[in-house]
Amino acid sequence: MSGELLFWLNLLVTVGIYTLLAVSLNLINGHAGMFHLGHHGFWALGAYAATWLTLNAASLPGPLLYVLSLLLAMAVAAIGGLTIGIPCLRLRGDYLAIATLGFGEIVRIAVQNSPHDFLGGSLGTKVPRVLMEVTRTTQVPFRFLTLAIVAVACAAAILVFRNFLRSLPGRRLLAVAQDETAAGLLGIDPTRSKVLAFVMGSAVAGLAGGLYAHYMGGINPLNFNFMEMVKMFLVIVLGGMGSLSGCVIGAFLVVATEQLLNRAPEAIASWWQVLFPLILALMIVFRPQGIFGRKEITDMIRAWRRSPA
Amino acid sequence: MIFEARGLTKRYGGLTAVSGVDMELAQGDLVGLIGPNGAGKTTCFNLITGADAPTSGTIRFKGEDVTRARDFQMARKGVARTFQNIRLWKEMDVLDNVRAVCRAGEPCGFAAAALRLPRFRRVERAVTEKATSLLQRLGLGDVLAESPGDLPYGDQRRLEIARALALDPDLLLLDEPAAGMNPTEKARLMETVRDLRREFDLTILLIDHDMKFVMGICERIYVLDHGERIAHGTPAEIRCDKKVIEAYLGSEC
Amino acid sequence: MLDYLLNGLALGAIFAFIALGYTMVYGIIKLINFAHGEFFMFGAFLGFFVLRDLGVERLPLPQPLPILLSYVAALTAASLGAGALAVVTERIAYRPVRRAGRIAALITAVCVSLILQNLAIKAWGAKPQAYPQPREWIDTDDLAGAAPANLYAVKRVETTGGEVVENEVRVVEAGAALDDATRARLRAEGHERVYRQVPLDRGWTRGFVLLALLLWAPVLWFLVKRTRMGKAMRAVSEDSDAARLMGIDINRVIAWTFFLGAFVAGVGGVAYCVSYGKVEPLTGFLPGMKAFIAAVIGGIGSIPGAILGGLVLGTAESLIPYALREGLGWEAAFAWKDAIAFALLILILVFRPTGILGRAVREKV
Repeated sequence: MSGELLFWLNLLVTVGIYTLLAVSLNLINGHAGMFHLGHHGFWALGAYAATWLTLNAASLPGPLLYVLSLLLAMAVAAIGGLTIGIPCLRLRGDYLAIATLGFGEIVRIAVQNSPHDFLGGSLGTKVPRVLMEVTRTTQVPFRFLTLAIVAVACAAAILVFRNFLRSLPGRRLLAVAQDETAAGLLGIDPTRSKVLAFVMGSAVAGLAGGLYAHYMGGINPLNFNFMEMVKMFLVIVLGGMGSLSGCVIGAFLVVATEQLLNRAPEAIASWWQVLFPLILALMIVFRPQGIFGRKEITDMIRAWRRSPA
Repeated sequence: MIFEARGLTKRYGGLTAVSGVDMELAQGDLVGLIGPNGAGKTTCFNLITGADAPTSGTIRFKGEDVTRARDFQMARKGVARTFQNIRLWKEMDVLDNVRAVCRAGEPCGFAAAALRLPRFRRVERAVTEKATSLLQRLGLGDVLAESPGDLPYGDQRRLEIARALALDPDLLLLDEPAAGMNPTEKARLMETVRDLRREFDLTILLIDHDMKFVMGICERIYVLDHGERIAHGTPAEIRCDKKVIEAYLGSEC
Repeated sequence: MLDYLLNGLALGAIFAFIALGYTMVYGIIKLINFAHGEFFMFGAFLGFFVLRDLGVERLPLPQPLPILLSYVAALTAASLGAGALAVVTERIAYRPVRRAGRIAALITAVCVSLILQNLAIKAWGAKPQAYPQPREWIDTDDLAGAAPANLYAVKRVETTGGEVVENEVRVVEAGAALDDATRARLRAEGHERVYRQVPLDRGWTRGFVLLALLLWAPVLWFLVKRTRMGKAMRAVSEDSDAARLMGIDINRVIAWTFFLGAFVAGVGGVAYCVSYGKVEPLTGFLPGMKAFIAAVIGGIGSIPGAILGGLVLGTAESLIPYALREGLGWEAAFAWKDAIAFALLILILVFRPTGILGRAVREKV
């Protein structure tokens, strides 16, 4: 019974982390219209920054360290976003995609080659538990606690992004995404808008990285490979490019499918690696707008209420 | 002079699109820029608005040298334009198309927007008011929530003008504003352009292919051919200019 | 230093082989064919099977084919197989999205790449396999300095008719010293000779790769510049709608481009795996990315650019870490060579997105 509960708690926490990754990727790819393929790099930056602080400031009280490490994760990822954003955002379309993918790979190579006593190198490193002791008996409360924290983080990220998109700078970003030339000629600085979106997106990916590191209790460079990037992409394509609530649904579908398949015998489970790129390709061909398109769940509920039942 | 271009030249590789063009606009002018296809009119617009940098020559706007200014900087200094092939943001509604361009008195940063601080509400209210009144002025008050793609062609052109006006420009560039309109609509547009100039204190430079339209509305006309300025004067002078007739041989003139 | 330069050039030639396919496909349908690295991997695997089954590694025993012919056979199989896979992939995956926009096409390509990788894992296992390498076999008793794993004992096996049909090779047990007792035991078992196996000097593979590039480049140039199909390819890349109106069968031209690009990548696949000594389903990913970088450096869409870009990247990947190690005393510099390649990509994209030999395209207002 407890095993079943642990499974579902783990599934939900993972959904939450993928939701954070997806909403932030969606801000960049969906709303800002930039084809960014290096999100796994920001995720890794966040995870490693949080781990580094946790390893090196062990004297601080646990909860404080937890919060500080998450803040550092966001800051480091945001600085990464700024550094890569400023030179790369002049690029368009597939060129931007390849440049950001290159960035993601650089991050992975960098942590892989890091000295073992610094970030663990290719073998990865343990992350000390600072929130609470995690033993066999405390697994369930620990997962409940993490789930609550992740849920709050998701809600906060979605709220902040939604507010932003319905504001002056947000509308400028949407304008730049739809027609950059027209936006520039109408007084909107496209680079500024795009860098802002990039930094916001990377900060939230960094937050996801920090939460992930603390939840897993150990990370290694292979956690942040290109396959994960494609999985995030599948989440936002399923949910709908440009829809925040779609990300939650998309994350649930992808993570649940993966984890339920993982319980199946190995012969079936291993097909997941073939299946998910196939689903992504089919979505792109047959329903590129995703399940929700640009709409939000709230829009749909409103429309449904208005229509005579 | 609110606007002055001297020796404006643009070369693309071996091709000279605009060569040594001089142009002057006084506050409140309504001037036309005409020429056969490929004469360099749109390139001129691109140079003036900072969409493209001139190979040589200088541009002064409100007394300031702006030759090297970028597009969004020019727009903020007060040069606004509409587009030959309509370029509205199709995935935002009509109101947001204008609101995205509006500048409020105070900046609204990311933090204010994300956290809904009082400053955000102030800015939002000011911007919405301004955008709504502009749209009402151009007769689009009833379609604020529509998608611009669903509007009739003439309305889309007017929405482009409203969007340009949201910048509070001093100089408004209209790139073929009457293209695709029937004579009645054209007459109405002429009316609108004249009124807007007075109401908003604008200087207007426009490109159009329809001679009747340009002659009917502009006080002065520049004529380009093969990137060079071949004539300049009042509509009456242009109508009888030998070089212009040659350039347009076989057309309405 | 010279050694590093030559290594770099040989590696660069391999990148050039793969980059050619990227550049040709991009030139014609503006698609970054992410799966190109998998065509390369597929070719490498086919070459692996041919070499293994022809028993290249069983020297000095009699072989079905002379060694050189074995490699020619492997290259042919690799090229044709990779080409066929490319044509099938284009038909199934890329043709439906050709009009769906460049981003959709790129995502499809990424998916195809992952699917092919994982199918290869299902078919051939995820573990790297040793790639049959050309080796020298020295029949000698002078075994000084040889590692036990490089020592082979050989035995004649005769059929009832008295004909020698097979020779059995077995590795002398690792760690076993080749003392008189061991030798006596081997003799007693029927092993007449002990051979020492020596990998062929790197110079051979380097020379082979560079020679192949020298031979291939003019052939490709001829195909694209001088033949009817080449003219059709250039017409489609210039304006595909106009080309269709002029009666060119676009689908055939595109399929042919994919075939040709993958055909050349197959050559690169065998060459790469021979130089690195192993093959695995993920073999295509990194060289594929590198080749793309090479294509961008040279100016994507340009065939001479791809070759130049490949050589530049290969040399840079070899000489920059060398300089960092020798100059700054940074011992780990070679582990960072992939990061250097990606950094180079970002720099090129930002400062000269058209590459060395590419043309600029302006957007219209």
